[in-house]
Amino acid sequence: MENTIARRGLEKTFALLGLMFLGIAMMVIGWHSLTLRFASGLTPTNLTSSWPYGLFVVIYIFWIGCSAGGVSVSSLLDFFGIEKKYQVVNKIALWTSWVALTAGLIFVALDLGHMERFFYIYLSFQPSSILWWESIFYLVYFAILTAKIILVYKDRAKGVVRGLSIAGIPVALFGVHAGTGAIFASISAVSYWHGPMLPIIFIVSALVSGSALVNWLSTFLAPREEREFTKILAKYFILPMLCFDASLIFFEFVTPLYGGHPEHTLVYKEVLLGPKCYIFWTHIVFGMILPFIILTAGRLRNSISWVSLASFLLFTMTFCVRWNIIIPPMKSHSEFAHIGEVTYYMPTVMEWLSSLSILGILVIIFAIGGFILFQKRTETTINEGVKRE
Amino acid sequence: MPTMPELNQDIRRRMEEDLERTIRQIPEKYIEPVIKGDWENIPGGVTNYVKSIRWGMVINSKDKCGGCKACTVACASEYKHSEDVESYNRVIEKLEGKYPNCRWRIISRPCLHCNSGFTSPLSFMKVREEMRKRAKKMGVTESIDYNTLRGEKPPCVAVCPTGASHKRPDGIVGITYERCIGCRLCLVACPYGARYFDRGDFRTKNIALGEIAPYEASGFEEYGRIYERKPKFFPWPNSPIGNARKCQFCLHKIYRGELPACVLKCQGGARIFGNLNDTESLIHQVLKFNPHLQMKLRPELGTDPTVIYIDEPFEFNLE
Repeated sequence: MENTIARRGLEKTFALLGLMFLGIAMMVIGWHSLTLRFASGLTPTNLTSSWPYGLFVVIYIFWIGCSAGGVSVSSLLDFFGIEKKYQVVNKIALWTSWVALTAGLIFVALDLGHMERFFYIYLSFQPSSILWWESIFYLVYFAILTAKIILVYKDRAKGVVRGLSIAGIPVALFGVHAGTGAIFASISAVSYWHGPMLPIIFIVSALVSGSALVNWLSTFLAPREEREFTKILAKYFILPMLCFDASLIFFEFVTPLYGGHPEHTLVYKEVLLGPKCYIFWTHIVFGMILPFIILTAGRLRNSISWVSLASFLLFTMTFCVRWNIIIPPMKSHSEFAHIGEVTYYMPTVMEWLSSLSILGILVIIFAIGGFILFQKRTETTINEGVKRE
Repeated sequence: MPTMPELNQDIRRRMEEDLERTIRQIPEKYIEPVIKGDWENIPGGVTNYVKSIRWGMVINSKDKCGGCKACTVACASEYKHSEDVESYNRVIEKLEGKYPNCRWRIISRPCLHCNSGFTSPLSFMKVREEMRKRAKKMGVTESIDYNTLRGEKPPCVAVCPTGASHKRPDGIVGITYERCIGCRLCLVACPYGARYFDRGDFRTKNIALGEIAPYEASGFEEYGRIYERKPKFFPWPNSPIGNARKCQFCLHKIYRGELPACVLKCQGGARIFGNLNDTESLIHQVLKFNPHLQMKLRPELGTDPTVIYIDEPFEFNLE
């Protein structure tokens, strides 16, 4: 029994060490580009007046979504009263959400022309600005997550933890992630964004990507006795959310194309049939169809390895969804108002590598946090139970 | 059909007289604070007078504007724009129709200084209440004319999270460079693409000896302050690099009695600048002369711009 416990501990340790070395490698590879970003501002990027948003904004909304979805796993465990049974999964969900939120905020800061002035947002009162509201929600959500992680780690104030779980869901889903969608949805100048669908799409795809990320991490970081939860989560939460997400995508594209108004259909046609259409279809095949097959096929969905693969695909392919939200509408914005400039944005090497470096730093932080937090509470509890028997 | 009334004087001279008549009411010691927007140090009477001004521009693209882009170059020279901003004023050329029934449409587009675009529930309720009172006074059934529902803020001002983007009392939409965080949401929110991001390129940086030419490194005046575009190694407080930037009708010039750079340099006499609320001004006269040819870009968005075109309707699609 004790040897088994030790072996399980080693497995998690090796996984976290592996993540740490991966993070160090990523950080080192992109370090020079990151210093270039701080030294030269946004000049080494392909972001211009005609193409204001690019890779940094895509990654920002990607990680904000993962954070909101990740915390929903923890809230589910609290809601069904099984957070003690799957306590490491709970901690993985919380810590992943925290790191993902930090990643999102770092990337939005990286995108700012004057990141050192970000605090002016908190010194102003701009209720007409959804970005202002979001900045408030990010702060509140960050505080809720941090408080919950500390209390769960110390196993204290269970009532407060429950309260934070209840408060965390509307803040995470509606305040943070639907609000992030509302930043873009409220802009009437970009008809691809404007409308009520985008915040709903953001919520649903956040639930899919965030829970898939937590699920994937749990398949190799959680103790073996808790890994059964990954199959339960995949079957009863991720799969229905995936189906819902697929239906939203279907209606999002079919409705305007059916109408045929050129102003509205141009960007949709660009996404479906343009030169970069492989991004959309890659997501459909590898981010929807393949995970759906895995999660519905009897033999595959009962295998943790296959569930791990499906979760990994769901989490990573959401990047394509975020790319298609931000980048194609910018092309139309660029073509008419700023004639003769960039016809299609592709991130520069500096943008890719600086992003890689930041992600590497966050992977290191995740791994360090994992060493501290991902302890089952503890083996003494199991030994006490064995003694009683 | 002529698009300009008969004038007995030079257009430029007339516009300068109109400008002089408007700014003469402001005591000289408050001119600089008005330019800088230092409203706390300006007496209420002066601020109220400034509120009564509504700076606007009429651009005759029907038969005066030839697309020479002198306005674009004038703006670029005035503010020493680099390649990423280029100029606050852009000349948009669009081919309409199919050959052989086609023509070029040329629209010179500065910032349009919109008056509305964002309507809060509060302003909706306020307007509806006013209409109810008016209907009651007239003894008629209330009917709400939604065309008269004016939003509070232009779209670019509404989305700004720090309040850097603001609408001045005289109708000009400006940016407080010291507060702008460079999030560029205003660039995306502008339905006309009239905002720019200064990311820090220099035209002359890599040409000779790796140094920036003195003309480009030296300062320029904007919003009543001298700014120098310094290379981004450090967030220099008086450098607009990293900020959103836009046309402000050459604010520092108009309150000193000079016309905006683009108006001064227009070769075709297509640009008329003045106070839209001054019934004696040339701009008012031109608008009155062309009641059916007044065109606003993207009227369906309800932005109510203060730059009005004398032209046929123009389909300005950003998508």
